[in-house]
Amino acid sequence: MKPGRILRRKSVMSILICAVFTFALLSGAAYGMELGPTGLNVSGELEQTLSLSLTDGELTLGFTNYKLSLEQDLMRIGAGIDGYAYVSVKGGYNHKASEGKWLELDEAYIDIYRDLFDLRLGQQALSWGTAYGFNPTSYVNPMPSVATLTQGGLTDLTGLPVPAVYVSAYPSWKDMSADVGMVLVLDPRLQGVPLPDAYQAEILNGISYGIKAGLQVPGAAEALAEALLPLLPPEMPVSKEEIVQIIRNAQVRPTSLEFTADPPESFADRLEVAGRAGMNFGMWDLYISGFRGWEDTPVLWVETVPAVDIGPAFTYVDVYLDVHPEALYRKATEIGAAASGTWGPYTFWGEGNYTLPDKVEALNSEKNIALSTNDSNFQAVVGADRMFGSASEYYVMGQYIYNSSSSLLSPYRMPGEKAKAGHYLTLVGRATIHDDHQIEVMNIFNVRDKSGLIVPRYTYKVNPMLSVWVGTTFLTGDETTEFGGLPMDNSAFAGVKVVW
Amino acid sequence: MNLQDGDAIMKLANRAEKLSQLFGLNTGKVWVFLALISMFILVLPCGAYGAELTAKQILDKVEGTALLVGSGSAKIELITESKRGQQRSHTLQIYRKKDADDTEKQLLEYLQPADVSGTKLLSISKPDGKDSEIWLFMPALGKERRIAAQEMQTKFMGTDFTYEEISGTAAYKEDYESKRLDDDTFDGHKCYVLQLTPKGKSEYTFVKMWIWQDESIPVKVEFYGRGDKLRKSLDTSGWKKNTKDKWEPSQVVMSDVLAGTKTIVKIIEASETDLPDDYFTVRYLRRR
Repeated sequence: MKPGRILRRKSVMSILICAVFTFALLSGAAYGMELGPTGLNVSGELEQTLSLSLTDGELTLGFTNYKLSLEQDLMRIGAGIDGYAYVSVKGGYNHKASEGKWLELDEAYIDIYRDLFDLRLGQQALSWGTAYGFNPTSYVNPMPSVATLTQGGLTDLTGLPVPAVYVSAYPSWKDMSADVGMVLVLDPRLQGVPLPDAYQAEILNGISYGIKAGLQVPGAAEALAEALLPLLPPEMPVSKEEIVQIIRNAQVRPTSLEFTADPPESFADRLEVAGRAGMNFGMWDLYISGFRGWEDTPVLWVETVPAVDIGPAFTYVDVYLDVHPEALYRKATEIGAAASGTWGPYTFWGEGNYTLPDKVEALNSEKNIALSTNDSNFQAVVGADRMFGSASEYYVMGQYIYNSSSSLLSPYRMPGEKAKAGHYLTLVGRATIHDDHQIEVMNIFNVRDKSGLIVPRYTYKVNPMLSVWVGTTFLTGDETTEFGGLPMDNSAFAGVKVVW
Repeated sequence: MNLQDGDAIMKLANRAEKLSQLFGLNTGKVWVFLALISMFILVLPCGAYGAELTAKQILDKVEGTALLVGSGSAKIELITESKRGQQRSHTLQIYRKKDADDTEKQLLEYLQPADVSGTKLLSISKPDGKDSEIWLFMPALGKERRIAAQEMQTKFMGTDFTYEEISGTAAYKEDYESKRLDDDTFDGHKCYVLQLTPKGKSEYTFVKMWIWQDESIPVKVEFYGRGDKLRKSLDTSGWKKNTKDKWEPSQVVMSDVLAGTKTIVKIIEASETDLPDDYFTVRYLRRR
């Protein structure tokens, strides 16, 4: 695309954004609009953020996000069906990273309500689980990137929509009733490798360096030479000692600086299924659930293949070690349970799942360097919240998250790194003053390495349509820690959001 | 619903208010309206009675008329006005049903503005007050949350109403000494005027209540504080009979004289059509 065209497009977008914000500033109304005799409901939102690096003072546009939704009662258009049709599109652009999509389908589904069941058919985001923000039993919708945490949003994260058929039923007998849901995902939303390209290259270069260093270890080159010698032509005039020396000087060549995984090809293979059943016991709700489908991210390993280059008439022999980054999506079976209930002024919740991944032989091969494992893993979260004050103007929430296998931020571990369970605390405190002013602090803390993310934020609701906020994002911990090592700076931010 | 249900309403209102703070809503104001339904809207017409009635007899009559039988729904606009005259408006649909075993079920749905549209609050209150259940459905998250039963509180912040006002005339009968003052006219209605003095601890020294003589409906209430200064005033207007021959005000306004704020409730439409049980289920909460 020509630069001029990009500029024009960006200018038009800027004008539109400014126009919407100006309208919101001048308007006291914020109503989803009902259009036409069928009552088509149109609503939307637009958000713009600014970010100021506290490290180098650089001021940048942060994110531009919008969403436009249409909703129609099927009865009102004479469809003869009790239900709704819903479509939303969205767009978002990360100005700092210069990436994003200006237009993509968000959700698009039809609801059909029958006496015995409710059916939702189409692209949709299901929300299973009882915890805030981190739901181990919300299997089918992958979570968006951790970047969404940097300006808050810890408690209102939702998964990315997938095309699916969701049937829910509510059988009852006597005073008991159950809540049963089944989901068939038609095309899972596989997320690729959730590591920046530069970080992948860094990992692969690091592995290459490690291999090179490993060849200098006494016995390593000798062992490889033992393996190579039988493969060389017998007439080749080279001794074992010479081969050992060649191997020690061998060039280690990554064949690519990124991991790439192909999604499953056939429709039948892509299908996923999940189910949930729940019941109410007094003041408590209990759910059990299960899932069979694809993990959101591929498993990774590095395969090292020696190559020998022999010159004409045996004039020279060179040995190379080719490093192949490999990635593969795999299926897993998950079972889980979730509960929530109240006791006095407190609401409690707990949720956990156990994941049994399908075995990938390459991860267990001694010849390969694995960044993933075949181990099963367990995730759990427990939490509670309550409100205080004569008008409940103060709110606190605490959650403990356990992840048996790895980091919350990355499903991978570095070669040779032992599995360390992750322990996290999330805390949210919020005070609302005169309805319009809100001060909140959100925090996630890695108990093991003492790193964390703290986001204090002040939000002012100018009118029902327009809200603005300012805040800061602080990372704690040094670069070797999970949060301290995130590729972002401490920053101040400001944002404005319009809803209509 | 009758006015003895004030406690149940209050419990829900407290919880809703707490949630409203959490999610940036003004839910508590809505529950104020529910109480106002008790006080002002869903009252049965009753004939006039003699001017020689005592204050207690008048209160008895008011209490006896404040009955809601069966189910009902109402669409309201709730406006809060700041001291500077800045107004915030919310439109809500409220559904209500009382089972044969006196279990109260209420569903509240925000219709406007867009930032809270689709938010629903379901409450099921048992007559003994135990095991009452509340769920909040948040459309942005696409799921419901069970809400803790908060302890009773005496004041609703964010609105111009307090527990005493919301608990209805039944509380006035039990907790206040009543004295009849000279009759007066309010908004064209000939009214009894009662002075109600709290028996126990209260933030008010006394309350004056105007009761429409012809219909036994409270149409105005004034709340006096220390030094017998007027602190707040509750006014109704636009009384008319609905399709079921029951009186409804088109507007209810609570003014905090000291703070200079107002809470205005406008009734857009009200119905006493029986509602199916399905409305009061988690299943219905999850539907669009």
